Amino acid sequence: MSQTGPEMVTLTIDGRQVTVPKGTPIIDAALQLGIDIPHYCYDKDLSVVASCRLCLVEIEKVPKLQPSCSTPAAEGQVVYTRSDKVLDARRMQMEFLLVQHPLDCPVCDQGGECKLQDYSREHGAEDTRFHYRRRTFPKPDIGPFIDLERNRCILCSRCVRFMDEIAGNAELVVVNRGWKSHITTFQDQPLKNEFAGNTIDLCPVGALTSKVTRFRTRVWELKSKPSICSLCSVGCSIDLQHRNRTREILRVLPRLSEKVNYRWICDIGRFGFDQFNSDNRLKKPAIRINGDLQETSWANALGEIAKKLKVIVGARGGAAAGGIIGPRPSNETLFLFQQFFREILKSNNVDHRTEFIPGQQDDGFLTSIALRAVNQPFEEIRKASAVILLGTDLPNELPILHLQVRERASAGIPVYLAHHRPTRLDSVCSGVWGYRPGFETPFLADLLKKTAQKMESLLSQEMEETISSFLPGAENEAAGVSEQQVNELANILQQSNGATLLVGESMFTGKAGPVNVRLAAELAHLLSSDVGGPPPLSLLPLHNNSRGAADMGCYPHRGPGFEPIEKPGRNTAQMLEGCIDGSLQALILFNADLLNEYPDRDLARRALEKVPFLVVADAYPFSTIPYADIALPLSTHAEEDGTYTNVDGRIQRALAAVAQLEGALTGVQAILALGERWGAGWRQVNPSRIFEMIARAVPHYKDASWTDAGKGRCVAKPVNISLFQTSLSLAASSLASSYKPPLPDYPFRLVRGRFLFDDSGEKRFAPSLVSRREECWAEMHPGDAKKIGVHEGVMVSLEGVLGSIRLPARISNAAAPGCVTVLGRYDDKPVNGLTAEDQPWIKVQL
Amino acid sequence: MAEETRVLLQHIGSADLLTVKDYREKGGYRALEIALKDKTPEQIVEEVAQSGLKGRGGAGFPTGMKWSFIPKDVEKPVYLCCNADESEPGTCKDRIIIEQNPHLLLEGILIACRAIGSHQAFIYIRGEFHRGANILQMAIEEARREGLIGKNILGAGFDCEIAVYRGAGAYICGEETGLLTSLEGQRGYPRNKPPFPAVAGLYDCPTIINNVETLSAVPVIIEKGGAWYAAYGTEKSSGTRLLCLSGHVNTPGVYEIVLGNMTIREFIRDFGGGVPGGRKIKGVIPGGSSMPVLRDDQLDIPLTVEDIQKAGSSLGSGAMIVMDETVDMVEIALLLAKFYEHESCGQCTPCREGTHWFVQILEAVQQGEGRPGDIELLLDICRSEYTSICPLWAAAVWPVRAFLKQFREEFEAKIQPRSMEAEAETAPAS
Repeated sequence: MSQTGPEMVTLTIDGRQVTVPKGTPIIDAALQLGIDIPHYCYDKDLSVVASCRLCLVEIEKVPKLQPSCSTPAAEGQVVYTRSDKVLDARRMQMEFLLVQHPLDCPVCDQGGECKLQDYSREHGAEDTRFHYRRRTFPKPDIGPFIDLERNRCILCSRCVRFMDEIAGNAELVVVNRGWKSHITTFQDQPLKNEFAGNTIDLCPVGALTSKVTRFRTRVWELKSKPSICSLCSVGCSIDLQHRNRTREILRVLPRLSEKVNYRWICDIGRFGFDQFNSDNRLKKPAIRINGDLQETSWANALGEIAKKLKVIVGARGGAAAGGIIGPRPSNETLFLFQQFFREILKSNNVDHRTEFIPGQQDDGFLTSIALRAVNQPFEEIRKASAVILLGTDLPNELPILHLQVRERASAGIPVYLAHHRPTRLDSVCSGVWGYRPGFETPFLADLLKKTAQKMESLLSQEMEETISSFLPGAENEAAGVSEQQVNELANILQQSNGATLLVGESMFTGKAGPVNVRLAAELAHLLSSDVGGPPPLSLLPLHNNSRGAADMGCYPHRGPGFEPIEKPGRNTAQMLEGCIDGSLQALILFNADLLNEYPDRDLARRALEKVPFLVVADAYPFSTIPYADIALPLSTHAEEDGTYTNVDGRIQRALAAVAQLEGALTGVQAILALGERWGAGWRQVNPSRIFEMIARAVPHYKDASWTDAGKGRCVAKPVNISLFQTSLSLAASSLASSYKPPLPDYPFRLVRGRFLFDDSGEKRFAPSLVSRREECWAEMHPGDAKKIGVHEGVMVSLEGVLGSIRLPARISNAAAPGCVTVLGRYDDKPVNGLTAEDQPWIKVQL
Repeated sequence: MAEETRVLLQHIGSADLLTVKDYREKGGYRALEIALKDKTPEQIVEEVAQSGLKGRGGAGFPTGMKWSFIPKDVEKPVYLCCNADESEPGTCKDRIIIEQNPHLLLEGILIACRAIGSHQAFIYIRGEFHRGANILQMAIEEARREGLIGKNILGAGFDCEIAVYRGAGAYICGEETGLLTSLEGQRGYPRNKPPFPAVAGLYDCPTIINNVETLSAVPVIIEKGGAWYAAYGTEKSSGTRLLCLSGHVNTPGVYEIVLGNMTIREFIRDFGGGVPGGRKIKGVIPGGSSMPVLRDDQLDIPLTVEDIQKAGSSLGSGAMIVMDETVDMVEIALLLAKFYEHESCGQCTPCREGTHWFVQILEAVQQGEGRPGDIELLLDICRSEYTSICPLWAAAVWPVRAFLKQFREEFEAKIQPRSMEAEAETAPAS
């Protein structure tokens, strides 16, 4: 059998020949000749409706004009796109579209990039023949992000089709018929889908515009800078647009990135730009004098830091100083941060893990690296014949990855999901399994065992023993998954050829992370047809530079490129303990919103209170600032050149879009300045020079270049796993106490999860996102609610040994019995302040 | 004096045909027996082709040829949809069959399914036909009990189900592809063709859509032969036709006739009993509201498909609407324009905007606020008649253009005074 490409056809358009694959719409064939046939409803990524009738063309031997978007190119076809008949029809359609259209171009945000304007100029009449009352519709409120102006709508239905076909929520619909047809939201509810903003880009006219950008600029005043979104680990390519004359960012648009976000972005990334314009910034360095933070100069602040650190390090050695950096700043900042500690302070007390307490030195993520897991979820999903999601709520965690999985599902690739609560992806999955939160390990162990049995594969002795030590046994029911369900999933896994596994943070972080990853990797190995190859397993860290922080060596026991450190320093938990017991005298918090992120808020608070010298560096006044002895104002993501490594290991560069706020320094500048002030011979250099240092220091970044990173072409190479020889133990012992029974009087397990529209991180500094955020709630199982007499919406108090908060109850079958789930991070609802990390037990009272 | 030739309506009025027993007593389901036991599907198609039967929904496409478009050796299921969404103003013939002889329709459907290899038929019935839907439902249930619908029909090894689906009150769902999208549970938006339904129709499967009257003619063709049926009528219009006579006539109704035996005027005189009060006819719409209106001086042509076509109109769905000399033709044009404005699905540009614009202009003209140039403007808008997805826009254009052409003086008369007034109003004060 010979392998042949698609059948090709040759047709003639406006006298020129073009050869295209059979089935190509004429409109696309014409574009190959540089002929742009006007159109509104056609979009290559949406289904074809051929309803605007603007793209009509004349085809020889066909009596009527045909829409070029829905007519496939055929061999020998002779097409005219500008014959008198075509131009006449086009003029008529333009007239039809304009008769009812308001003449409000001067106040329409689409002005300047409006297809109605463009095509009117090219094909429209000079005068109107319409002398009657124009049709008007009431103006609805469809949410804080998008403005729907129905009077401008031409009913191309691109938005309707996008929501239905790509975003997966048919929230936008056409109602009524004929000339009364108009777009509305389903049941007149505000739009909820997190991709709704893309309809603004798709709308060819001014019917859907951004409420956040509305009336703040004319589009021709905007200047665009290529950037990378900083709100999750997907790292969407975006354009940050600001007005020429001011430093205000006024719009974020997706930038085409074939391998990552394609042409879509989520609403958080699109509408959150006002964080960059926020007046609520740290603007001047501040120093604590007589108990109060008072403004000072950079020179003074840095001098004071150097002086204090020298005293502490001089007296007690580098081990008395520690640094915690969030997984958000650029690779250059992360690299310099650990370099400052290791080179200058001679301290290995560096960590970026602000959100969980690792059970052993190599946490779940490092374990996956050690196991050679491929760790490229986007790449994997693209080629896998089945996708298996474990412990992840993609719609709330990584929106664009969610979109990609959804796209694969609609292409017929089966998607299976096991998670401790339902997600919005469930509806497209071929199978969904639920287990009780806290029972991830027994679930995975059971699944691995049964799958191995079905595949008649032998597991290693070590693995067998480990599995049996984790198997829930009599507690099987407690895991919330029946024998039958696990068997069912095992059957599916056994049959899934070429599957890839994606593991979410609820499984790979925390103390059980390494074991869970080991079990999942073993499972992936079983399913992989490539016997000796890497397990088709990817972990899904959440923050925009989680991967970069790991690669840059922001670990106490591993340096850049995962190089093991002979005498490891303290991790985040140990540093905080050290602050409390006095062994740590100085702590630097860099882009780390520690009080909100750390799983034990009480411990973090006590540590910050206690540590004798605390430096906090950030762009925004997070709740750590009041504890600082010195606060340093940093630039925002939009003011800084830098590279970020996304969840796929793609090293991508963002350009500074606007000038730095006066008084603030970028992370790189601040650390270099501190090194300079220290007298270590550091001096200010361009971040590209730091990137060159990184490429030298991190072996798997060797081939990366600053220029290529700017083009999105750099991908981290596989890691040299010989660095990990000692860390493959299953560390069963450290997990012996993984299951702890509830404390007396605290019968409920508190489960925390992610929520896209919360106010974690920088989100709370973007007013638009704050207006879209959904208030925090406590989700409970109906049975539990009944027992304590709680109704939907009633305020309940969640009380742990360390604190309590009051939240409205939401009764949901989705919640596991005996659990209270709280999604999202809220500054004013410190859910992490109720319990200690490994004792998540609370009581619920009215 | 012309007379009816009752084939489809043979026993209607004289016998109760609602039960299988009654229907069988009048010879019902014999054709089905023949079709299932004595004929191959190809022979059925052949017989129907030979009969010259053409679609009775309005477009008049040859039925046998349509059936032969179903691709051979398809793996997907094949569907038959009976279009019972009779909603063209003036048309009321299908309703008679549905309500008074439902088994005739069911028999026709079963034979058609056999011919095209379908095992599932749908009757898409106009939402307002409550009674008809109930009657069909009861007839289907009884037929199923009698072994005429379901598995192994008449022991001949043929399986077929028939389901009744009620529309929700949209004229556009009588357009065949709009019918399909509606049947699939979506907004009744017509589809672009190609692909044609015979290739990709309901649920993307090969589908044949036939009108009620068309399918009801199938049993007699099978029983008596295509040649017998073709012997009736003219070359281009064989068999009998159900004509719906309404408007200004003394005895409106549905009449089954053979075309070619009388003129239009004779038909109106003999069956309609003439115009009330002996008034003169001003115009006649010969084939449903979208067909161009004929003037009184055009009514002496033979009542045939060919002759009406020559006169610039069409017999369409067979609905003849008579208007006498008291009628204001501008008002009728406006009325029809309003109908199409109301029934446009709104999906594609020319129809959604054009139907509304028509109404706005005609309303102004009717109210004496027309502007000079309005007639030319209306005619200019009409030029876009073939740029829409489905024929509804053309169906809206034709009456407007025909009324303007045939009764232009009535429009001019309404526009003239207004324009003088308007000039006076806008003249600069001296």
